[in-house]
Amino acid sequence: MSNHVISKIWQDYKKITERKTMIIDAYLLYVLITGIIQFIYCCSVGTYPFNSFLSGFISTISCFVLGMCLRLQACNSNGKQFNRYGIEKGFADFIFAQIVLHIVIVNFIG
Amino acid sequence: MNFFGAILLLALVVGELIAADVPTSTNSYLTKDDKLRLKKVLEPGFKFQDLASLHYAIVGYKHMKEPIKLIGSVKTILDKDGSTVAELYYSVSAMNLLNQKIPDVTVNKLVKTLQLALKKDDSPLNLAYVFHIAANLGSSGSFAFNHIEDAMVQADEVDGRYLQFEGGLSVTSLLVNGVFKLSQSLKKKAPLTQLQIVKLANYFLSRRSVQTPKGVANFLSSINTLATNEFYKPTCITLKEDGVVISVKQPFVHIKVCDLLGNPVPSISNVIANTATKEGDDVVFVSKKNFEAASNDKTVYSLNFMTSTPEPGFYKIAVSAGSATNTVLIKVLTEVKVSSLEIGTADADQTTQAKLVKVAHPEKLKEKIEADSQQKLVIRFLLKDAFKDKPMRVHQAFVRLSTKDSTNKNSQEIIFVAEPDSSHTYKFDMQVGAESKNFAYQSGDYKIELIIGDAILSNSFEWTLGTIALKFPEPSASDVADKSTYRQKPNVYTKKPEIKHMFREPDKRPPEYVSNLFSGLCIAPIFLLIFLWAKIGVNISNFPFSISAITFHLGLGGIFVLFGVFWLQLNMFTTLRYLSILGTITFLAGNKMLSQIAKNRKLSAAR
Repeated sequence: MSNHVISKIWQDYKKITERKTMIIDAYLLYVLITGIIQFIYCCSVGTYPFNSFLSGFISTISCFVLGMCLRLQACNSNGKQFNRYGIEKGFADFIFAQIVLHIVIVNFIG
Repeated sequence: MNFFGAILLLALVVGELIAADVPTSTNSYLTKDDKLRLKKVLEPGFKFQDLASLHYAIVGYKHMKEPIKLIGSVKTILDKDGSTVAELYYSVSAMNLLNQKIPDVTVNKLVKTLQLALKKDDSPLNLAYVFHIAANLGSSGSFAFNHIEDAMVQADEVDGRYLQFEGGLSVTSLLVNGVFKLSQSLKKKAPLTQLQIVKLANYFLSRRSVQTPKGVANFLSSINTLATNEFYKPTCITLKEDGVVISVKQPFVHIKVCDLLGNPVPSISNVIANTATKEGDDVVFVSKKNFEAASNDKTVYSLNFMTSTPEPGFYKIAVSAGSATNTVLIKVLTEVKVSSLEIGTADADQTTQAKLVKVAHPEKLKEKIEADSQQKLVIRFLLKDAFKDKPMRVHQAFVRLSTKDSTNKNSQEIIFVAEPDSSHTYKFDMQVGAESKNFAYQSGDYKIELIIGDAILSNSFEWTLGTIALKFPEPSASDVADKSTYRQKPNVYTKKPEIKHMFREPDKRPPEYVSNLFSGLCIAPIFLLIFLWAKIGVNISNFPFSISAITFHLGLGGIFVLFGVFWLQLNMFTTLRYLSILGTITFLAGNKMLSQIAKNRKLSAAR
């Protein structure tokens, strides 16, 4: 039963989702897995040096959040809210936010 | 009488009751030494350097009845038409000194001026000037007599013992002299109570250490005035010099009764010790005993205090002579003797009886005592009052152990307290083993001394009992470390060790392979990303090969490389400088590229 539901969702996802959005989803998945690995490291080995761990972990979380923002703007179904500016504006914001985020993270990594 | 009047009356009555406790005699008088010293202060005034010093020197010498050797002539200010009260005072007294009579018209005018001046300002100083002027005016000066009470109201009482006026010695002296001069010239009794006179005298005597010529003249004149006034002469009741200590050898309490100048008071025939109370318990010990006049000195009266065999301690004796009373504090001393003293050693665990040897007081133990760390030094002694032969306790009873060679650098001196038990026997036990640290493990010969002291003993003593050879165990390693710090005398001037900043010790890091494993794991998803993107099918062919697109991607890559370099070596400021260049380029290129893409998209959508 549950298998059936999951496969149904997967089928629908593949059918409905744009390629552009899927690329962003792949990126989000990548960031999520990286974050999970860091979290496992922190739980199993320890948080020392704490600032390095924290900057890495925050980096993944922030990247995920920013990626999600980009996905919202890129998705055609949300076009009504964002159509005024176009996806290029969203991408430019994403790049700018990444640059600002990473200068902070590199500064904090120690 | 209204309600407030009743309260005022009550306050007055209470005040009188409180005042009854205050001694009605002074505590000191003017000694010969005081006079000599005061003369020295005045002497430079005769050198004619300034008129004020000269004036005060003359006045002072007159009061001490010393001959004045004047070298020059004093130019006095003649009838000056002054406007202030002070100036009036100087002119009137100048005229008086020159024996010139002031005409009646001037006197009447003067009286009116003065009365007006007093209405404006009745400060003690002004009042004092007015009293002096009025005293020179004969019967016309009687207007000022009523102001004496106004003046006395303004006096400040200090401590319940002193009476003074605002402005200190000079104002008080001027005013007191004025009051007595005026009452003398009018032949009326000054409205001052005896207590007020005594308090004023107390104040003046408290200022007898005065240093300036003016102060000395003021002091002498007012003391003379008070000592010789016709109405009430204050009496001084005090202990004779060095008369505080009373013992069996010197059993007499010597009381000096005299006037302020140290002269005998003829009106006083008998001096009585009203009560004597021991300090602490306030039990009346002696009551109503007559002092006997000494044959050689008319001012000294004596009482044999020891006939009533007082306990040693401090006693307050209330003495009255004539109408004056005072309380003096004396100290009754006793002698102590060592009734018995035993010294010896015992086992520290008290398995055997102590071996004790008796020593008589001034003697010394012949044999040397020996004690090792398993033993203890024991001293037992009993102190007795030498006169009453009763066991007594003393304030201080110490046993001192010191190395015989005191010049040695490593000399030790340790003082122990001997404690008395309920039967007044002093016991002193010293465990040699337990005390070895205090002696710095320094075995050898030590001198034993007994120190007995008390404020009520006339023969406090130090008694060398003998010698003890102490054997201490070898110090343990930790004790040696302690000893070195103990031996080091704290010297506050030596250089302190430098304080170095301690960084926090880094925590233990995980093994290298674990770190490397997780580094690899963190990088691994990038391959998953590439794989997924490849599977979804990234449209690379759509890449616009324009200059702006290439510049944009190169700029973005450059920014992330710059971040890497920032992490490894650059600081924030240089990084921001490079970033601003790279960022501007990337922004412009990105803007161009994205607007191009958007335009293309719109075009394709329109088609």
